[in-house]
Amino acid sequence: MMLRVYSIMTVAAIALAPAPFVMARPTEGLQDERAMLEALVTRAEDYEAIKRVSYAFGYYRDELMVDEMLGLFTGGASVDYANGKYVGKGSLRRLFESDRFRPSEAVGATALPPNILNDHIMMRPVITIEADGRTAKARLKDWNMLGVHGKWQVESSGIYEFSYAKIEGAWKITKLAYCTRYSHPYLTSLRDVPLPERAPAEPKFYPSDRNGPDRQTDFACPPWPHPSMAPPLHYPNPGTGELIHRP
Amino acid sequence: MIRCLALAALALGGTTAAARDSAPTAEVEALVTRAGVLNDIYDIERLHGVYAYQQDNRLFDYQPYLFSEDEGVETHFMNGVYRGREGAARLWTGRFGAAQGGVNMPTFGYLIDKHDAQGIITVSPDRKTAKARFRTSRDPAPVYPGTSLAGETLIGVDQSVIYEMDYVRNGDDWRFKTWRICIYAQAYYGAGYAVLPKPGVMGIPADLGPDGWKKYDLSPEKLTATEGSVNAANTYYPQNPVGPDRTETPEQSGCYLARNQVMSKPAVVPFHFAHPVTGAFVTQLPSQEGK
Repeated sequence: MMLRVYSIMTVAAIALAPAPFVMARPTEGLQDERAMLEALVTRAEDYEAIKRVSYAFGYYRDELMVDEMLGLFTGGASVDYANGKYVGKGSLRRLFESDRFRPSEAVGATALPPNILNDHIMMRPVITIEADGRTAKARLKDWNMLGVHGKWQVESSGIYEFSYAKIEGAWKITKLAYCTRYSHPYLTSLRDVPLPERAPAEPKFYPSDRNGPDRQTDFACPPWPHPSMAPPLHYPNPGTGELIHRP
Repeated sequence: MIRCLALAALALGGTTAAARDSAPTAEVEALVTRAGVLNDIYDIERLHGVYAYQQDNRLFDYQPYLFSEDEGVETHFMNGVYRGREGAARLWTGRFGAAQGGVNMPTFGYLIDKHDAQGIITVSPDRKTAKARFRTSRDPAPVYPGTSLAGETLIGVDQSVIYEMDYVRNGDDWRFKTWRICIYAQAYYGAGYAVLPKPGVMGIPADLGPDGWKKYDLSPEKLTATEGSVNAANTYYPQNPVGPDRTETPEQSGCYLARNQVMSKPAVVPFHFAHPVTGAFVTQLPSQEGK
């Protein structure tokens, strides 16, 4: 066999990596068929609800619907975004209303102006629900078409790692880490994209920067062409059981 | 009258409770199966996501572990067929991994960005096997100039891709039984699909004629691809240590291999699923019209 996964680098990564968030089997240990049925239906409902919250975040973001976005988060939720960490709904609002999170031409707008394209297509969820059915994590990506008519156009993509909690029957976001994977002018040959900085400068924090984060992010997000898997995968490879981590 | 209604309600309630206690197990079993199928669909969607993020991050050595160890496992790539989990490892670790220096991780300059979507997942009635069709656009940008580990010289392209997958149950989870991909169109990023085939660029011969796509055919009769070209893997294993065990023709796979062959030779990867309304299995023959 040519399977050769356990390189020295991989073993080192295992030693450093946190415990994986392992997928729970809802019917494990259940003998009673009614209990089994309830567990399966609950898991299906949870999966759909988590997907719905994550996709709704993308639709609301497209339309600059800040209150609706905030309603998806718990009170103490945090968002790691653009080299900063924002904690609590006041900070999240500061981020969502700033030009870090929307086209600068849309700052101050409560609805998307007609000359702006702000599409974030949310896709490819890997959802992992904890055994107790009360918390979950998911990895998604977006593929984005952004632009202002007559001024600029950008294609970009990024990775989301969400954490959720089920509170009084409703799934809410407790944490979000987002890393932009690439961002470049639409229809520009990738060969001609200027080399971005591997690590952006440490941001100014709030309140010295009125739109700034509360503190430094926990996640380095080197954009393409720099290599990166950030933010880290929350789940192990199903075949090896290994939580894969690369710098 | 009230007394009658009360008695009737009591009788009804009693009947319902009794029915509940003695509900036919078959009914509950059928509901467990239906709920189980929904969970299977989610698990398969999740498995595809795991695969796709590993592909984006070029963790090629991990991909074979998503395959079943059962007999009959196959990987179909560019009309080459690789048998077993070992064959999958030959393709991913031996071929794709080697092309990036064997490091099994993202490297500077390379970009694979897939946007997998539109999954139709079909679980068999016994919940032991399943099939799925997905599509993706794919933006491989193998190089940031002069920095590739493998010294590649390609630039960013768009690709259009169809998956037709088979799965087999593995305990409570699923594994790939057949991984089948058709990259049916490819174009320069920034230039668009309509400009190709363009003689003399992106591997398209300068003298490309109407049947130029055939030069990229991997079928056994067409073993003329030059070493180093996209189809160099047309020599079988073990003569070629990373080669396929066999090949299939475009007619068998529904996948023609010329880059953006849809511009000159349409093809349809067969659908695994029945029409959702009529229940009939649908086939579509490639159009014979065109250039």
